[in-house]
Formats: sequence, structure tokens, C-alpha cells
Amino acid sequence: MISRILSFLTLLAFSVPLGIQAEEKAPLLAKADNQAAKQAPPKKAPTKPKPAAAKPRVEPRPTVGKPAQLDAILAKAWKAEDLQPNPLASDEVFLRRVYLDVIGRIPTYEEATRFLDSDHPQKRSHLIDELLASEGYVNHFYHFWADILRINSSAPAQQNITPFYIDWVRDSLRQNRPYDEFVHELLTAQGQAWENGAVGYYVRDRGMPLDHMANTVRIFLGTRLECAQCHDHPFDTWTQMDFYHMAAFTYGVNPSGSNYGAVSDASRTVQKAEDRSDQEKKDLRAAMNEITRVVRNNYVVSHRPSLPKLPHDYQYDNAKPNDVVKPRTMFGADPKVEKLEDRVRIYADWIASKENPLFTTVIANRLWKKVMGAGLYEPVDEFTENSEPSHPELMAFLEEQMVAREYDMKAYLRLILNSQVYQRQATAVDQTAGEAYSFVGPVLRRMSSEQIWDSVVTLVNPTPEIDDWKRDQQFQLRMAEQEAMQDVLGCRSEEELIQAATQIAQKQRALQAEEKDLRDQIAAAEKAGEKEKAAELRREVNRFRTRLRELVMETVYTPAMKKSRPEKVAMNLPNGKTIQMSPMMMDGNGSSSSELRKVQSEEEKAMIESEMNQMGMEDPKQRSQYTSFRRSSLNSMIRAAHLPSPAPLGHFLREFGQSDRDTIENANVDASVPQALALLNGSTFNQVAHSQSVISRHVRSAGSPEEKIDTIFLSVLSRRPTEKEQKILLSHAAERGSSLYQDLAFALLNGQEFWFVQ
Amino acid sequence: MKTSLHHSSEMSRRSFAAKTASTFLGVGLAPSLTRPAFAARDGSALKQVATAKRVIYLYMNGGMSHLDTFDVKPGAETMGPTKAIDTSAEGVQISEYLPRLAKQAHHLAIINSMLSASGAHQQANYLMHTSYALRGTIKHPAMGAWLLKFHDRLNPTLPGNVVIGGGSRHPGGGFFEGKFQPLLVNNPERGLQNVKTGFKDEDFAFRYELSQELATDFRERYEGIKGVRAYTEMYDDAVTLMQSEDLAAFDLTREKDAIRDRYGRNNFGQGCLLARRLIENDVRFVEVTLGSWDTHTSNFVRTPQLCETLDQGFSALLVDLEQRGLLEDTLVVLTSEFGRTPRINQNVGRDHYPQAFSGVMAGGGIVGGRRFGKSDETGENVIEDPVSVFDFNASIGYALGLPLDQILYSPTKRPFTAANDGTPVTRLFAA
Repeated sequence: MISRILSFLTLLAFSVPLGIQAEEKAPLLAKADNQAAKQAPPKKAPTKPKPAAAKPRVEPRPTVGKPAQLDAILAKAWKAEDLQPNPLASDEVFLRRVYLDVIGRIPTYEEATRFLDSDHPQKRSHLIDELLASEGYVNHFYHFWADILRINSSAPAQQNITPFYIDWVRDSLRQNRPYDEFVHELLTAQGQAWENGAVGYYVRDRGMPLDHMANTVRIFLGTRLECAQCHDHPFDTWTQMDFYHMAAFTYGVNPSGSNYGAVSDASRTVQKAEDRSDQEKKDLRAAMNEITRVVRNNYVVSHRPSLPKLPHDYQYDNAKPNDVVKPRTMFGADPKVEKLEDRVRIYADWIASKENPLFTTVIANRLWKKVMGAGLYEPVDEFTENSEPSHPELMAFLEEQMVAREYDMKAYLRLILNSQVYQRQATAVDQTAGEAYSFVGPVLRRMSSEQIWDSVVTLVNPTPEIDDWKRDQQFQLRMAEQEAMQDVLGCRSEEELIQAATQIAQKQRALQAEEKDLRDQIAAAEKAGEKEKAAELRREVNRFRTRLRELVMETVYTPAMKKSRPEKVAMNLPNGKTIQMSPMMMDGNGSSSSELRKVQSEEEKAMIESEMNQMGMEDPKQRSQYTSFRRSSLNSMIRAAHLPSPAPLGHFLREFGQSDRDTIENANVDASVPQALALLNGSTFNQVAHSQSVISRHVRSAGSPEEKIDTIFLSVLSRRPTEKEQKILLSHAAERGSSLYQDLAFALLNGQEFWFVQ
Repeated sequence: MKTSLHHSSEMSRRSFAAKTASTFLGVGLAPSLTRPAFAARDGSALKQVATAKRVIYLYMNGGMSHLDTFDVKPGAETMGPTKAIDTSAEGVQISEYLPRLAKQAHHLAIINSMLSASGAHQQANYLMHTSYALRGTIKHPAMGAWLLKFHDRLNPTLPGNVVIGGGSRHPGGGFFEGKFQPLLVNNPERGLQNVKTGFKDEDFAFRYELSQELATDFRERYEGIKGVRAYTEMYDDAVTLMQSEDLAAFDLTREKDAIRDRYGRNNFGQGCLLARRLIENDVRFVEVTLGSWDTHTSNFVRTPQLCETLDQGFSALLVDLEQRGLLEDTLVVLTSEFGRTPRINQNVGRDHYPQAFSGVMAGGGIVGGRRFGKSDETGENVIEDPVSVFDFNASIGYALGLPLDQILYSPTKRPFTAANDGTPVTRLFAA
């Protein structure tokens, strides 16, 4: 570790002069519609706290370097090793690669032809800017980060938090929040999820504060501490004490807090009351539980003063078992923690800092690997004392550039993507662990599961990048409702709550008696084999539950919400219309999402109608085909980032290796027979071959067989066929007739060229 | 193409089988497997001769009430309305809700002294499957994956590890390579997915051949690359599998209606039947899940319903395995994440209870017709021969002849053993 710290200092010492704070110029853009031209990279928030213990020293700020510098550094390395770089990649190869690397899908037919047919000298760098500025970047890099952060959108206990967390991550990518700020906010987030979605980072590891620390150190500092959780690290320098010192920084973060206003006071009063019977107390406790149910999973993240204790079997002689451990950093700067309430900030300042010897290295290396296919350090998150980069000069340059660009991840990616080395032909290498790669070009890679899925979606869905407006609205509605309910509960006085609980308890008792009666009837019906009757009775029981929940809403929440929120929640639709949601639409779970769904379904129908009218589609049969196809493509053939992730087991995405999000970066690209079976025989091809799919419509509108063949090649592989391929296909034209085009689409989807990124 | 689609000679079937041995669910040998990946403690080899080759693992998801199934306490208040009945094993009673199983009790070793460290579903389920606590930094392999890690598949064409109807949270192969992941069958009636083409045979043949033809250039360019080659092999294997007779193992329609009825026409029953077919075709490890044992309310309505399903499927399975001579070397295991509170709650339900619960083993060297361990007269505390989750799993490993003390390292270089150093209950195997 010492050596790494030294090398970092050397790097700073040799870096370029003070004060030259060159802003990387946005490339001169010919096209006015290019988004990147308008959006200068956002500046870092000026108020960012400085590391508490960092010595005020002269910080030579490195200059913003150019892609050519990167190429020159590698050229030197090749020369030293007597290597030839790969030839530059063709436009076709570059096009497909850059789409997949930046926005995670193949280009559409139009996107491909537009680029390939352009003779603008700077078309490559224009395309890079365009892609980095697009929503596709958010959709693709969401998975990159969700795999690292283990974001599980379907974990049931966190349903009230995760949507806000996901939205926060996506928004950070969209706004291009600088990486150091991104990390700092994740580590310091407090409060309610709708105030700050970043709290999801702590809520994700609810109940496992020690694992949380091991994960954080691995993610942001590339260092493995898991071993030191239970004993001194056997191969690295970390001791169990180091681990507990680190854990002490975040041990006081409580990710399971609640905000029930006067409920706990009310409960205490009730339980202490001498004039209430035990039964009454029990009933009131149950009623209070019902009252808080709708806000129960709204975890509030807060900081408490607690410190960890060493385990009872601590075996080293530098401390005793069960000793309390105070926060202390594991390497680099050693800031003093005077007050416990400052420790999380001090810790975040220490991690998300260019002074930290590993913080910059880890992200510079990660993003390099993301687009080049291999890291200068491998693995990207297992740094030890002896870790050396494969190309020290290049690594130093990349770290320097990350700092010079103030952790602007898009600007950093732009540097690499515009370099010649990125734009060379891919190298086919079998990567063996421990063997350094020479970076004579990017590495040939299999597409990730999401890239394969999103590429198939591109062939089917005419609007692959469309915002998922339905989910987005549901999310906004949920946010407004949760916030409103929490507010209402917070405003209830103790007396009001006791009164409401009394009312609810009464009703609850009555309902329970009826429910018990019903359950006896169910048992009797079961015995008599009257299944239908039993099922009907069971539905009746459920209706009882619903009634009780509705009663809670009516007693505690809705009347106040009508007052506090008379303006209702307004939802904007993609067509410019607005929907009004009122608290009166809420069900017993405090949600009006099913109401909203009805409205959305109508809206979607209207949208599809208007699409058909625009296309001048009149034939009723065709219209009905189009409608059902479009409905299904809008709901299931959408970008993986808009589907629950991880997808359920057995889903296409999981078969192809999507991460389960249980452990960090757990996706894989291993081949398996079920994958081939899914593409050969699964329903995916039916979607692609559907008469209304994008590719089918393009093929229909192409004229000659040659043009149709061109269209399919451009749609699936982003290139035109070779002469040989054209000849093979035309030789079958007579025999296969019009089914040749489906044959071809099937053949290309089942070939390696589709699966791999060259 | 013409050869690969239409061959069915014994010769080519066999060469296919030999090839898929290394390639079924994960293609090609991972590099770590070509050199010794195990670091054996004391250089230990197998400690005992296996008494079972295969396992059918019945998992009662949600926490099965022990008092209402295999740990009856006649006369105790905690029993609620549940009665005990006599069984084919002398002196062994089980719940009245399991009348068919009672006739097979001479096969069963009923363990009434199980203990778990967790009373939360996810944690306890994970612990039961992997012998390790659920952590946020690693995923441990379940027993089926350990079995395959130590012993090869018996049938090289079919996957060695299958989970039928298990939820999406199954730990599967954990940190082991992709090929140890279980194959998941969501619905036993539908069997293996995507093995039939929706096209006419000649269309499929033409399309597949065309894909091979168009792929030639790419394949030649990257010939040396393992990842690219793996996909060539994967397609060969997939197409061969589509033609394979072994696929019939997944096809329940080949069973007589009477047999299918005997197992029960529900997912669990048909899952047990599918498990038998797979075991018969030498699949090593099959797990079948029966869900919704989480009877916090109306325990005495819901448990009898679940027991009806369990009773039918489990008993039919035992009878069938015995008749086919498979019970001898097939270990059948029944377990759950925990038991349920002997105290009956205000909703006439039972809550989570890890301090005492029951599991069952049969076949595969187990001496049946008896109980092992004991809980007290209310079913609240284990009072004799406690069996931890680790010991229970070690007993499964023992039956399979797994080297229980052999350490395998995760990719994060941490050491693990098959049952987390549990001690096998060898008395289950002794006459």
C-alpha cells in the first residue's frame, strides 16, 4: 500500500502547472441539433466540503489531456515491446461497438445508415457526443452501476425505497453528477427516500452494517476487507482491528428508522393506563399497528451515536473481546474524529477524495475496462500491496485525467472513446488471469445479457428509448402519496391518535369475530369438499381485511389529505394532457395506482390510435394486429433498464447471465445450452418476426431482394452483406421465396457475430 | 446440418454424450477445474463409501408446523385439534393429516430434534440450503452444487442438478462456476423450455444450416478464442439435445394417467413425479418445493390442505421409487426452514419457530421406521440428540460420500466446506 501512496504522490508532483484550469472544449459541432453542444459538462457543486483533516497544500491541478496523448503513451509501450497495434476499425465496426458500449444496444436501421452514409470528417466524435448525451446512456450505465451497487428493484421489503434510489442513480447519470460527488452523497445520505433517493445505498444493506462496510471498501477503494471481518486478512495487510475501525465510521447509520409522529407516545400512554384492561391494550396495540402499516416501510435513514464492539471471540492481543472500537481510516490520511456526529462526513470526505490513494485509480480503471474490455489492474476490485498496473504511465495519465476532468465520467469516457486505441479493431484474446494485456485495441467481448436483450428490443420496438412514462407516473404518484401520508401522520396529536385507534379497535374486534365465523365456515366447506364455496368464503375474508384497511384510511389519512392536498396530484402525459389524481382514489393500502393504471391504459390506447393514423393504417385487421403488438411491445419489449431487475429466474435476461444483484458485479457471459435454445426456439424470434416489428416493416418497405437483404444485415449486424453473403442468399431466393427474409433474420440472430462486440 | 439433425445412431448419440459431459449448462471446462482446485485438509479423501447416488430434496417453503406433521404430541394442549395416528412403523405416530405417508413410515427416519439459527424466512431458507448464513458479500452453493462439484454427473446428456418450482431466491450454485447452477423448471407439466422448434422441420433445418454457413467467416477469424468456440459448441449441443431421447425424461405425458393421479394433479405432486423420472434417468439432485407453509393464521385449516398435497406426492414417490428399485440408492429428504410455534396465536395460527422442528430422510442407506431425537411434551424444546442445520446437511453429504472436511475456496479466496463443518448423524444409517 505504501508503494501505491508514494506513486500517487509522485504523480501529483510531476503533474502540470498550477492554475491552468483548462476546460475541455466541446468538439466543434457542425450539427445544431446535437445535444452535447448545448450541454457543457455540469460544474461540481462549489459547496462541497473539503476533507476535514487534509493538509492545506498546493495542489497542482493536472491539465486536461487529449486523446492523442493517450495514444502516444500506448505507442511508446508497444514500441518497447515490439508490438504492432491493430488496424483502425471500419465505420461499421466502430458504429456497432460505440452504440453497445455507450447506450447498450445496437443502432437502429436508420441510425446505422445515417452514420454509414455520412461523409462528415468528424462523424465519429459527433456520434460519441450524441450517444453520451442521450437517454440511452442512462439506460445502459444504470445496469453498470446497479450491478456494482447491487440494486434489486424487486426486493419486497424495500419497495418503498428502491424506486427513489433507482431514480436517484438514473438522475445522477442523466445530470452527469461528478463521480466524487455521487459517491459522497451515497455515503452521507440521510432522511426519507423522497427527499434523497441516495439513502437507498444504506437501506440496501439494512441489518448488515459490517457487510456494508466490506462492500463499500470493495466498490470504491477496490480493496477486499471481507476476510478481515472475522480474522486478520491471511494474504493482505488488513487486520480485524482495521476492519472494525472502518466499520465504526458507519456503525451509527440507522437505515431502518421510522417517522410515526406521536404514535409511540400514544402507544405508551395507552399501555400505561391503569383503567384499561389487558384485552383493550392488546386491541389498541393492534390498531396502532394498522395505523402505521401504510408508512411502515418508509425507512428513514438517520445517524445515531453507537459504536461497534469487537466480537466476543476476538483473538488478538491489541484489544480485548467486546471492546468498543472508534473510527479510524485504514490507509492514507488519518483524520481525527473529535465528535461522533461528524464521523460519516469525515469518512465520506476521506473516501471520495483525490487525496485518497485508491479512489481515483479504481474509477479510472473501472471505466477504462468498461469500454476497452480489460483493466490495467485486474481484477478491478482486488488491490493489494503488490498490485501493479499493466501500463503504469497510462494509468498515471488516466488518473490524472479523471482528476483534471473533476470526476466528470462522460468527459473521461469521451477521452477514451475518441482515442485511436478505442477505435482500432478488436483483439481476440483469451484473457488469462494474471496475464497483462497490451491494449493494441479493445478486447472482443460477448454482449452482456442486457445488451443482447436491448438489441433484440431495438429490432422489435419502434421506440426503444422512449421514457417509460407509465412507470414514471406511478412513481411520482407513489412519491406524492407516501409523502402526504407521512405528513398527515406526523400532524396527528396523541389524543387524536388514541381516539382513532379506539375507533379502529372497535371495528377490528367486530371484524375479527365475523372473520372467525367465516373461517369456521371455510373449514366446514373444506371438509364437505365444497371447494367453490370455500373459495368464495375466502374472498369474503379478504374483503374484511380490505374493509379494515379502508377504515384506517378514512379515519386517519384521507380527510386530512383532502385538506392538506386539495390541489390533487397532476400527472403529465406524453401527449401533453394532464391527469388529476385525488386522495379519494386511494385504496386501503394508501395507493391510487390502480386508478392511475386505468387512465394510463386509455392513454396508451389513444397513443397507439394516433400512431396508426399517422401511418395511414386503415385496414381493420392490420389495425388490430398493430394494436396488440404495440401493447405488448410497450409493456414487455422495452429496455432492460425499465424492467424489474434482476428479472425473474427463467427470463431471457437471467438465462443470458444477468446479475442476481446479491453480490457485487455478479453478471456473467458464460455460454449455456438454454441460451441457444431460447434464441432457436423461444418466443423472442416470434417478436422479431412479427409483421409489425420494426425490422419487418423496414424489410417490407425495401424494394428488391438485394435491398431487403441489405436492410436485414444493417438492422441486425449494422453492416451490409459481403458479396459472398449476398451470393449465398440470392442462390436460395427462388427456393425460399419470401420466407428467405425470416430465414436470414433467424440465421443472423443465431450467429456469433450478433452475440459478440468486435 | 443434414448429419447433425438427422443422425440418431447409437454411435453419434454416445459421442454427443461424451462431448456434453463437459459442456451442458456451462460450455467448456473452466480453467480452474483443469488444475486441482481443492485444498484438502489433512490430505483427506472420501471418508466413507456412499450409500446414495442421488437425492430428491423436498423443501417445505414457509416453515412447516412440526406438531401438525411429524412431531405429534397426543393429548398436549399445543396440538390444537390435530390428532395422531399409528403408522406402518411400530411405535411411530404421525399426524392424521398424513394417512398415506403413515403406510410408508417404515421407510422414514423422522428427525424431531432439528434446530436452526434463524427465524426469518429468507435467512433460514438460505441457511438450510447452504449451511452458511446469508451475507451481503458472497453467495454460497446449495447441496446439489456441492454434489456435482465432487462427483460428476451420472448422465452426461442431462443437467445434474434440477430445481422444480423453487422460488427465484434459490442460492443455486452460489460462487461455483456457471455449470453448477441448477436447471430451473418452473412448471413440471411444461418440462424443459424451448426444446421444440415452432417451425416446420425443413424450415428449421434450412435456417439452422444458413446460420452455420453465414457464421463461418466470423468463426474462422476468431477460431482460437475459447469464448467464441464455446458458442459454436453450444449450438451443436443445443441442436443435438433437441433430438435427444433423454429429453423424454422431462415429458410427464409419457406417464399413465393413473400414475399421474396417484401423485396428485398439482405442481408438487407432478414435481415429485418429474423428480422420479429425472432420477430414473440418472440426474443427481432434484429439489421439489411445496410452498405456503407460513400459517400465521388459520393453521388448522391450511395445514391439513398442505398436508393433503404433501401426503399424496411424497407417499406416491416412495412407493414408486421402491417398486422401481430406486429407493435403495436414492436419498429422499424432506425439510423446511423452521417449525412453527407450539403456542397457538390469536388468529388460530402458529408463528416461526426455529428452536425445535422436524425433518425426514428415507432411502439411500437410511434405516427407516424410527424417530431420531426428541422434543419435549409440548414440542417447544429439543431434549434429546439435537440436530443442527449443519448436522442435517452433513448427513446428506455423508450418504453421498462427500468429503465433508475438504475445503474449497471461493473466488474471494475464503474457505468453505460442504456442510460448514457439521457432524453427520451416522446413527441414521446404522441398523
